[in-house]
Amino acid sequence: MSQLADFATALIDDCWYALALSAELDRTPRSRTIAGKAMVYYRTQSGEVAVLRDRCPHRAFPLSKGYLDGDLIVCNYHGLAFEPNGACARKPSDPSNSAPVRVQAIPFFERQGILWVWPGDPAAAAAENIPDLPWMVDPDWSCVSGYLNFPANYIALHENLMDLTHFAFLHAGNIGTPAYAAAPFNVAVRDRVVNIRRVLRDAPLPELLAVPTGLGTRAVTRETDTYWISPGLNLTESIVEDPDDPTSPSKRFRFRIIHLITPETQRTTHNFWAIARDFSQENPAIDAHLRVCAARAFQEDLDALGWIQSSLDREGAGPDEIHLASDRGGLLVRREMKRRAMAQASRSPRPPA
Amino acid sequence: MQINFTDLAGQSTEVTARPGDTLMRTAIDSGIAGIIAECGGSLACATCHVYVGPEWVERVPAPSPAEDEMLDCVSERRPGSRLSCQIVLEPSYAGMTVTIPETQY
Repeated sequence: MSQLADFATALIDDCWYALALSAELDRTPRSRTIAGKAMVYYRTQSGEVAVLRDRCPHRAFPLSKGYLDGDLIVCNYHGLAFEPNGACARKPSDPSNSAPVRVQAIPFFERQGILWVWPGDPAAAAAENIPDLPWMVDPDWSCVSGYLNFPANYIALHENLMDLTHFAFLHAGNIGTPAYAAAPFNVAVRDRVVNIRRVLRDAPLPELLAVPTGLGTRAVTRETDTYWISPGLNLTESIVEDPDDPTSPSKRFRFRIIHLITPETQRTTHNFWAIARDFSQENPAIDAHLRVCAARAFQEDLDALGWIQSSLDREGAGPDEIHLASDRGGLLVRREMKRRAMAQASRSPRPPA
Repeated sequence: MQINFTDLAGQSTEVTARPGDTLMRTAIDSGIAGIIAECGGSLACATCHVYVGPEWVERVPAPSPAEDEMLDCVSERRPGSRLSCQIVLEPSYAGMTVTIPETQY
Protein backbone atom coordinates (compact mmCIF):
# COMPACT_ATOMS: atom_id res chain seq x y z
CA MET A 1 0.00 0.00 0.00
CA SER A 2 1.17 3.49 -0.78
CA GLN A 3 2.62 5.47 2.10
CA LEU A 4 1.61 8.75 0.53
CA ALA A 5 -1.78 10.30 1.27
CA ASP A 6 -3.82 11.06 -1.83
CA PHE A 7 -7.31 12.22 -2.77
CA ALA A 8 -8.83 8.92 -1.67
CA THR A 9 -7.21 8.85 1.79
CA ALA A 10 -9.72 9.25 4.63
CA LEU A 11 -9.90 12.88 5.79
CA ILE A 12 -7.97 13.52 9.00
CA ASP A 13 -10.51 14.75 11.53
CA ASP A 14 -8.39 14.75 14.67
CA CYS A 15 -7.03 18.20 13.93
CA TRP A 16 -7.83 21.85 14.61
CA TYR A 17 -9.26 23.40 11.46
CA ALA A 18 -10.42 26.93 10.73
CA LEU A 19 -14.22 27.01 10.53
CA ALA A 20 -14.58 30.75 9.99
CA LEU A 21 -12.91 34.09 10.55
CA SER A 22 -14.25 35.99 13.55
CA ALA A 23 -15.40 38.76 11.22
CA GLU A 24 -18.18 36.59 9.82
CA LEU A 25 -19.56 35.53 13.22
CA ASP A 26 -22.80 37.22 14.20
CA ARG A 27 -26.34 36.49 15.30
CA THR A 28 -27.20 34.74 12.04
CA PRO A 29 -26.74 30.97 12.23
CA ARG A 30 -24.49 29.86 9.38
CA SER A 31 -23.48 26.45 8.15
CA ARG A 32 -20.17 25.11 6.97
CA THR A 33 -19.13 21.50 6.40
CA ILE A 34 -15.81 20.41 7.90
CA ALA A 35 -14.37 16.97 7.13
CA GLY A 36 -17.81 15.83 6.01
CA LYS A 37 -19.67 17.11 9.10
CA ALA A 38 -22.02 20.05 8.66
CA MET A 39 -21.68 22.53 11.55
CA VAL A 40 -23.89 25.46 12.50
CA TYR A 41 -22.24 28.42 14.25
CA TYR A 42 -23.38 31.74 15.67
CA ARG A 43 -22.69 34.25 18.41
CA THR A 44 -24.73 34.16 21.58
CA GLN A 45 -26.19 37.32 23.08
CA SER A 46 -23.15 37.73 25.33
CA GLY A 47 -20.76 37.44 22.35
CA GLU A 48 -19.68 33.87 23.03
CA VAL A 49 -19.65 31.33 20.22
CA ALA A 50 -21.81 28.25 19.69
CA VAL A 51 -20.78 25.47 17.28
CA LEU A 52 -23.12 22.48 16.90
CA ARG A 53 -23.68 19.73 14.36
CA ASP A 54 -25.95 21.25 11.73
CA ARG A 55 -28.40 18.41 11.94
CA CYS A 56 -31.37 18.04 14.22
CA PRO A 57 -31.09 14.69 16.04
CA HIS A 58 -34.81 14.18 15.42
CA ARG A 59 -35.08 14.19 11.60
CA ALA A 60 -31.70 15.52 10.40
CA PHE A 61 -33.14 18.91 9.41
CA PRO A 62 -30.30 21.46 9.14
CA LEU A 63 -30.50 23.66 12.24
CA SER A 64 -28.96 26.50 10.20
CA LYS A 65 -32.27 26.65 8.30
CA GLY A 66 -33.94 27.55 11.60
CA TYR A 67 -33.62 30.67 13.75
CA LEU A 68 -32.29 31.95 17.06
CA ASP A 69 -34.56 32.46 20.03
CA GLY A 70 -32.25 34.22 22.47
CA ASP A 71 -29.29 31.85 22.70
CA LEU A 72 -31.32 28.82 21.61
CA ILE A 73 -31.29 27.61 18.03
CA VAL A 74 -34.71 26.43 16.93
CA CYS A 75 -35.23 23.71 14.35
CA ASN A 76 -37.61 24.92 11.66
CA TYR A 77 -39.09 21.46 11.10
CA HIS A 78 -40.68 20.54 14.47
CA GLY A 79 -39.50 23.35 16.69
CA LEU A 80 -36.99 21.48 18.83
CA ALA A 81 -34.74 24.09 20.46
CA PHE A 82 -31.13 23.57 21.53
CA GLU A 83 -28.83 25.33 23.98
CA PRO A 84 -25.35 26.50 22.82
CA ASN A 85 -23.98 23.42 24.63
CA GLY A 86 -26.19 21.13 22.52
CA ALA A 87 -28.79 20.21 25.17
CA CYS A 88 -32.37 20.13 23.92
CA ALA A 89 -34.42 22.74 25.79
CA ARG A 90 -37.81 22.27 24.10
CA LYS A 91 -39.71 19.53 22.28
CA PRO A 92 -43.00 21.27 21.40
CA SER A 93 -44.69 18.19 19.96
CA ASP A 94 -43.76 15.98 22.91
CA PRO A 95 -43.42 18.26 25.95
CA SER A 96 -43.64 15.47 28.51
CA ASN A 97 -40.65 13.68 26.96
CA SER A 98 -37.79 14.08 29.42
CA ALA A 99 -35.22 12.03 27.50
CA PRO A 100 -31.84 13.81 27.51
CA VAL A 101 -31.76 14.69 23.81
CA ARG A 102 -28.66 16.49 22.53
CA VAL A 103 -27.16 17.70 19.33
CA GLN A 104 -23.40 17.21 19.29
CA ALA A 105 -21.47 20.28 20.44
CA ILE A 106 -18.24 20.67 18.46
CA PRO A 107 -15.06 21.60 20.37
CA PHE A 108 -14.04 25.10 19.29
CA PHE A 109 -11.67 27.90 20.19
CA GLU A 110 -11.65 31.48 18.98
CA ARG A 111 -8.15 32.92 18.77
CA GLN A 112 -6.47 35.71 16.83
CA GLY A 113 -9.50 36.29 14.65
CA ILE A 114 -9.98 32.64 13.73
CA LEU A 115 -12.68 30.23 14.91
CA TRP A 116 -10.97 26.83 15.16
CA VAL A 117 -12.95 23.58 15.43
CA TRP A 118 -12.01 19.98 16.11
CA PRO A 119 -14.24 17.68 14.04
CA GLY A 120 -12.74 14.44 15.42
CA ASP A 121 -12.71 12.75 18.82
CA PRO A 122 -13.63 15.50 21.34
CA ALA A 123 -11.50 13.84 24.01
CA ALA A 124 -8.40 14.49 21.90
CA ALA A 125 -9.08 18.22 21.36
CA ALA A 126 -6.40 20.18 23.26
CA ALA A 127 -6.49 23.96 22.97
CA GLU A 128 -2.72 24.21 23.46
CA ASN A 129 -2.28 22.61 20.03
CA ILE A 130 -4.02 25.48 18.25
CA PRO A 131 -1.51 27.24 16.01
CA ASP A 132 -0.22 30.65 17.04
CA LEU A 133 -0.68 33.19 14.22
CA PRO A 134 0.06 36.55 15.85
CA TRP A 135 0.40 38.42 12.54
CA MET A 136 -3.34 38.15 11.99
CA VAL A 137 -3.93 40.68 14.78
CA ASP A 138 -0.55 42.26 15.66
CA PRO A 139 -0.78 46.06 15.15
CA ASP A 140 2.81 46.07 13.84
CA TRP A 141 1.60 44.00 10.92
CA SER A 142 -0.99 44.66 8.27
CA CYS A 143 -3.05 41.82 6.93
CA VAL A 144 -5.24 41.22 3.89
CA SER A 145 -7.31 38.07 3.77
CA GLY A 146 -9.80 36.15 1.70
CA TYR A 147 -11.61 32.87 1.21
CA LEU A 148 -11.72 30.37 -1.64
CA ASN A 149 -13.49 27.05 -2.02
CA PHE A 150 -11.25 24.67 -3.94
CA PRO A 151 -13.00 21.99 -6.00
CA ALA A 152 -10.27 19.55 -4.98
CA ASN A 153 -9.09 17.35 -2.14
CA TYR A 154 -7.06 19.15 0.54
CA ILE A 155 -3.96 17.00 -0.06
CA ALA A 156 -3.62 18.60 -3.50
CA LEU A 157 -3.65 22.08 -2.00
CA HIS A 158 -1.09 21.09 0.63
CA GLU A 159 1.18 19.65 -2.04
CA ASN A 160 0.69 22.71 -4.24
CA LEU A 161 1.80 25.00 -1.41
CA MET A 162 4.96 22.96 -0.76
CA ASP A 163 5.85 23.08 -4.44
CA LEU A 164 7.52 26.28 -5.56
CA THR A 165 8.51 24.93 -8.95
CA HIS A 166 5.08 25.48 -10.49
CA PHE A 167 5.24 29.23 -9.84
CA ALA A 168 7.19 30.09 -12.98
CA PHE A 169 4.62 28.29 -15.14
CA LEU A 170 1.16 28.40 -13.59
CA HIS A 171 1.78 31.84 -12.08
CA ALA A 172 4.10 33.30 -14.74
CA GLY A 173 4.40 37.07 -14.41
CA ASN A 174 2.44 37.24 -11.20
CA ILE A 175 4.00 35.47 -8.26
CA GLY A 176 6.37 33.42 -10.44
CA THR A 177 9.71 34.37 -11.94
CA PRO A 178 11.87 32.15 -14.20
CA ALA A 179 14.72 32.05 -11.67
CA TYR A 180 12.44 30.60 -9.04
CA ALA A 181 11.64 27.27 -10.70
CA ALA A 182 15.24 26.13 -10.87
CA ALA A 183 16.56 27.67 -7.65
CA PRO A 184 17.94 25.12 -5.20
CA PHE A 185 16.00 24.46 -2.01
CA ASN A 186 16.34 22.50 1.20
CA VAL A 187 13.82 20.34 3.00
CA ALA A 188 13.71 19.39 6.67
CA VAL A 189 11.31 17.69 9.06
CA ARG A 190 11.40 18.81 12.70
CA ASP A 191 8.80 17.69 15.24
CA ARG A 192 6.61 16.53 12.36
CA VAL A 193 6.67 19.97 10.75
CA VAL A 194 7.87 19.87 7.14
CA ASN A 195 9.94 22.87 6.02
CA ILE A 196 11.05 23.85 2.56
CA ARG A 197 13.56 26.69 2.40
CA ARG A 198 14.74 28.61 -0.61
CA VAL A 199 17.18 31.53 -0.72
CA LEU A 200 17.26 33.42 -3.97
CA ARG A 201 20.00 36.04 -4.39
CA ASP A 202 20.48 38.70 -6.98
CA ALA A 203 17.10 38.13 -8.60
CA PRO A 204 14.18 40.48 -9.28
CA LEU A 205 10.97 40.05 -7.32
CA PRO A 206 7.65 38.90 -8.73
CA GLU A 207 5.01 41.59 -9.10
CA LEU A 208 3.26 40.53 -5.89
CA LEU A 209 6.29 41.62 -3.83
CA ALA A 210 7.96 44.15 -6.14
CA VAL A 211 5.22 46.75 -5.86
CA PRO A 212 4.58 46.78 -2.08
CA THR A 213 8.30 46.87 -1.25
CA GLY A 214 8.94 49.57 -3.86
CA LEU A 215 11.93 47.53 -5.05
CA GLY A 216 10.62 47.31 -8.60
CA THR A 217 12.98 45.38 -10.85
CA ARG A 218 16.04 45.62 -8.55
CA ALA A 219 18.00 42.41 -8.00
CA VAL A 220 17.49 41.54 -4.34
CA THR A 221 17.75 38.72 -1.83
CA ARG A 222 14.65 36.76 -0.92
CA GLU A 223 14.53 34.08 1.77
CA THR A 224 11.43 31.93 1.80
CA ASP A 225 10.55 29.30 4.39
CA THR A 226 7.34 27.37 3.88
CA TYR A 227 6.11 25.20 6.73
CA TRP A 228 3.50 22.45 6.63
CA ILE A 229 2.39 22.68 10.22
CA SER A 230 -0.70 20.49 10.29
CA PRO A 231 -3.39 19.17 7.94
CA GLY A 232 -5.07 22.53 8.63
CA LEU A 233 -2.23 25.00 8.17
CA ASN A 234 0.53 25.99 5.77
CA LEU A 235 2.64 29.02 6.68
CA THR A 236 5.20 30.86 4.55
CA GLU A 237 7.68 33.34 5.96
CA SER A 238 9.38 35.50 3.37
CA ILE A 239 12.07 38.10 3.94
CA VAL A 240 13.15 40.46 1.18
CA GLU A 241 16.30 42.54 1.43
CA ASP A 242 18.10 44.80 -1.00
CA PRO A 243 21.84 44.23 -0.38
CA ASP A 244 22.71 47.39 -2.31
CA ASP A 245 20.39 49.54 -0.26
CA PRO A 246 22.40 52.68 0.65
CA THR A 247 20.77 52.85 4.06
CA SER A 248 22.49 50.82 6.71
CA PRO A 249 21.41 48.43 7.99
CA SER A 250 19.41 47.73 4.91
CA LYS A 251 15.69 47.49 5.23
CA ARG A 252 14.17 44.05 5.58
CA PHE A 253 10.65 43.51 4.36
CA ARG A 254 8.86 40.66 6.07
CA PHE A 255 5.83 38.82 4.74
CA ARG A 256 3.75 36.00 6.21
CA ILE A 257 1.47 34.04 3.91
CA ILE A 258 -1.03 32.03 5.92
CA HIS A 259 -3.14 29.30 4.36
CA LEU A 260 -5.78 27.85 6.65
CA ILE A 261 -6.75 24.65 4.88
CA THR A 262 -9.94 22.93 5.96
CA PRO A 263 -11.21 19.83 4.20
CA GLU A 264 -14.89 20.28 3.43
CA THR A 265 -15.55 16.96 1.71
CA GLN A 266 -13.31 14.40 0.05
CA ARG A 267 -13.42 16.58 -3.08
CA THR A 268 -13.71 20.15 -1.81
CA THR A 269 -11.57 22.32 0.45
CA HIS A 270 -12.05 25.58 2.32
CA ASN A 271 -9.07 27.91 2.05
CA PHE A 272 -8.92 31.00 4.25
CA TRP A 273 -5.80 32.87 3.22
CA ALA A 274 -4.05 35.89 4.65
CA ILE A 275 -0.99 37.89 3.62
CA ALA A 276 0.61 39.92 6.41
CA ARG A 277 3.47 42.44 6.11
CA ASP A 278 5.48 44.40 8.65
CA PHE A 279 5.87 47.61 6.61
CA SER A 280 3.61 50.28 5.07
CA GLN A 281 0.94 49.04 7.44
CA GLU A 282 -1.68 51.67 6.75
CA ASN A 283 -1.58 51.74 2.99
CA PRO A 284 -4.80 50.88 1.16
CA ALA A 285 -3.06 50.91 -2.24
CA ILE A 286 -0.72 48.13 -1.10
CA ASP A 287 -3.65 46.23 0.39
CA ALA A 288 -5.44 46.48 -2.94
CA HIS A 289 -2.37 45.37 -4.90
CA LEU A 290 -1.85 42.32 -2.68
CA ARG A 291 -5.54 41.40 -3.01
CA VAL A 292 -5.45 41.64 -6.81
CA CYS A 293 -2.23 39.62 -7.19
CA ALA A 294 -3.30 37.03 -4.64
CA ALA A 295 -6.74 36.66 -6.18
CA ARG A 296 -5.17 36.08 -9.60
CA ALA A 297 -2.59 33.56 -8.35
CA PHE A 298 -5.00 31.66 -6.12
CA GLN A 299 -7.59 31.50 -8.90
CA GLU A 300 -4.90 29.93 -11.12
CA ASP A 301 -4.27 27.34 -8.41
CA LEU A 302 -8.00 26.78 -7.96
CA ASP A 303 -8.50 26.18 -11.68
CA ALA A 304 -5.48 23.86 -11.87
CA LEU A 305 -6.43 21.77 -8.86
CA GLY A 306 -10.04 21.56 -10.06
CA TRP A 307 -8.91 20.25 -13.45
CA ILE A 308 -6.59 17.76 -11.75
CA GLN A 309 -9.38 16.57 -9.43
CA SER A 310 -11.66 16.10 -12.44
CA SER A 311 -9.16 13.92 -14.20
CA LEU A 312 -8.58 11.89 -11.04
CA ASP A 313 -12.34 11.46 -10.59
CA ARG A 314 -12.77 10.42 -14.21
CA GLU A 315 -9.81 8.11 -14.60
CA GLY A 316 -8.54 7.29 -11.10
CA ALA A 317 -5.12 8.02 -9.69
CA GLY A 318 -3.33 5.55 -11.93
CA PRO A 319 -0.48 3.40 -10.66
CA ASP A 320 2.18 5.32 -12.51
CA GLU A 321 2.17 8.78 -10.96
CA ILE A 322 5.75 9.93 -11.35
CA HIS A 323 7.64 12.14 -8.96
CA LEU A 324 10.53 14.54 -9.47
CA ALA A 325 13.23 15.43 -6.99
CA SER A 326 11.60 18.86 -6.73
CA ASP A 327 8.50 17.19 -5.26
CA ARG A 328 10.20 16.18 -2.05
CA GLY A 329 8.58 18.84 0.14
CA GLY A 330 5.13 17.79 -1.02
CA LEU A 331 5.89 14.09 -0.76
CA LEU A 332 7.13 14.48 2.82
CA VAL A 333 3.82 16.19 3.61
CA ARG A 334 1.84 13.41 1.94
CA ARG A 335 3.83 10.83 3.89
CA GLU A 336 3.11 12.66 7.14
CA MET A 337 -0.58 13.00 6.35
CA LYS A 338 -0.81 9.31 5.47
CA ARG A 339 0.79 8.48 8.82
CA ARG A 340 -1.81 10.57 10.64
CA ALA A 341 -4.70 9.14 8.63
CA MET A 342 -3.51 5.58 9.36
CA ALA A 343 -3.01 6.31 13.06
CA GLN A 344 -6.54 7.66 13.24
CA ALA A 345 -8.00 4.66 11.38
CA SER A 346 -6.24 2.17 13.65
CA ARG A 347 -7.39 3.78 16.86
CA SER A 348 -9.88 1.85 18.95
CA PRO A 349 -13.54 2.41 18.18
CA ARG A 350 -14.47 5.83 16.92
CA PRO A 351 -16.89 7.79 19.07
CA PRO A 352 -20.35 8.05 17.51
CA ALA A 353 -20.33 10.80 14.91
CA MET B 1 26.31 -11.59 -6.40
CA GLN B 2 24.31 -11.98 -3.20
CA ILE B 3 22.83 -9.34 -0.92
CA ASN B 4 21.45 -10.19 2.51
CA PHE B 5 18.35 -8.33 3.71
CA THR B 6 17.19 -8.61 7.33
CA ASP B 7 13.88 -7.33 8.64
CA LEU B 8 13.58 -5.95 12.14
CA ALA B 9 12.20 -9.27 13.38
CA GLY B 10 15.57 -10.73 12.47
CA GLN B 11 14.35 -12.72 9.48
CA SER B 12 17.08 -12.82 6.81
CA THR B 13 16.65 -13.28 3.08
CA GLU B 14 19.53 -13.69 0.67
CA VAL B 15 18.80 -12.49 -2.85
CA THR B 16 20.70 -12.50 -6.11
CA ALA B 17 21.56 -9.03 -7.38
CA ARG B 18 22.96 -7.59 -10.59
CA PRO B 19 25.81 -5.10 -10.53
CA GLY B 20 24.56 -1.77 -11.90
CA ASP B 21 21.14 -2.10 -10.29
CA THR B 22 20.35 0.04 -7.30
CA LEU B 23 19.94 -1.57 -3.91
CA MET B 24 16.31 -0.31 -3.96
CA ARG B 25 15.59 -1.99 -7.33
CA THR B 26 17.15 -5.22 -6.09
CA ALA B 27 14.94 -5.23 -3.00
CA ILE B 28 11.75 -4.41 -4.93
CA ASP B 29 12.45 -7.01 -7.64
CA SER B 30 13.15 -9.61 -4.97
CA GLY B 31 9.91 -8.89 -3.13
CA ILE B 32 11.61 -7.64 0.03
CA ALA B 33 8.89 -6.19 2.29
CA GLY B 34 9.31 -2.82 3.98
CA ILE B 35 10.87 -0.85 1.12
CA ILE B 36 8.27 1.32 -0.54
CA ALA B 37 10.22 3.58 -2.93
CA GLU B 38 7.20 5.72 -3.76
CA CYS B 39 9.14 8.04 -6.03
CA GLY B 40 10.85 5.32 -8.00
CA GLY B 41 14.36 6.56 -7.26
CA SER B 42 14.06 10.32 -7.77
CA LEU B 43 15.40 11.11 -4.31
CA ALA B 44 12.05 12.71 -3.53
CA CYS B 45 10.29 10.62 -0.89
CA ALA B 46 12.62 8.91 1.62
CA THR B 47 10.54 5.70 1.60
CA CYS B 48 13.40 3.35 0.59
CA HIS B 49 15.34 3.88 3.79
CA VAL B 50 17.63 1.02 4.90
CA TYR B 51 20.41 0.44 7.39
CA VAL B 52 23.61 -0.73 5.72
CA GLY B 53 25.62 -3.19 7.86
CA PRO B 54 28.32 -1.49 9.96
CA GLU B 55 31.17 -3.06 8.00
CA TRP B 56 29.69 -1.70 4.74
CA VAL B 57 29.14 1.92 5.73
CA GLU B 58 32.63 2.98 4.66
CA ARG B 59 32.72 0.69 1.63
CA VAL B 60 29.95 2.44 -0.31
CA PRO B 61 30.23 6.06 -1.48
CA ALA B 62 29.05 8.55 1.13
CA PRO B 63 25.58 10.09 0.71
CA SER B 64 25.28 13.19 -1.45
CA PRO B 65 24.16 16.40 0.30
CA ALA B 66 20.63 15.90 -1.07
CA GLU B 67 20.48 12.32 0.23
CA ASP B 68 21.91 13.44 3.55
CA GLU B 69 19.15 16.04 3.83
CA MET B 70 16.44 13.50 3.07
CA LEU B 71 17.95 11.07 5.60
CA ASP B 72 17.27 13.72 8.23
CA CYS B 73 13.58 13.25 7.39
CA VAL B 74 13.38 9.49 8.05
CA SER B 75 11.81 8.18 11.22
CA GLU B 76 14.99 6.86 12.88
CA ARG B 77 18.33 7.79 11.38
CA ARG B 78 21.32 5.72 12.45
CA PRO B 79 24.97 5.62 11.31
CA GLY B 80 24.18 3.05 8.58
CA SER B 81 21.11 4.92 7.28
CA ARG B 82 20.94 5.20 3.49
CA LEU B 83 18.32 5.66 0.82
CA SER B 84 18.62 2.42 -1.10
CA CYS B 85 17.79 4.10 -4.43
CA GLN B 86 21.08 5.98 -4.19
CA ILE B 87 23.34 2.94 -3.86
CA VAL B 88 24.36 1.49 -7.22
CA LEU B 89 25.66 -2.04 -6.74
CA GLU B 90 29.21 -2.94 -7.70
CA PRO B 91 30.64 -6.47 -7.77
CA SER B 92 32.68 -5.67 -4.68
CA TYR B 93 29.46 -5.25 -2.69
CA ALA B 94 28.81 -9.01 -2.87
CA GLY B 95 27.71 -10.25 0.55
CA MET B 96 26.49 -6.82 1.69
CA THR B 97 24.16 -6.93 4.68
CA VAL B 98 21.18 -4.58 4.84
CA THR B 99 18.54 -4.15 7.56
CA ILE B 100 15.03 -2.91 6.79
CA PRO B 101 13.64 -0.26 9.19
CA GLU B 102 10.41 -0.80 11.06
CA THR B 103 8.60 1.94 9.17
CA GLN B 104 9.11 4.20 6.18
CA TYR B 105 6.98 6.99 7.68
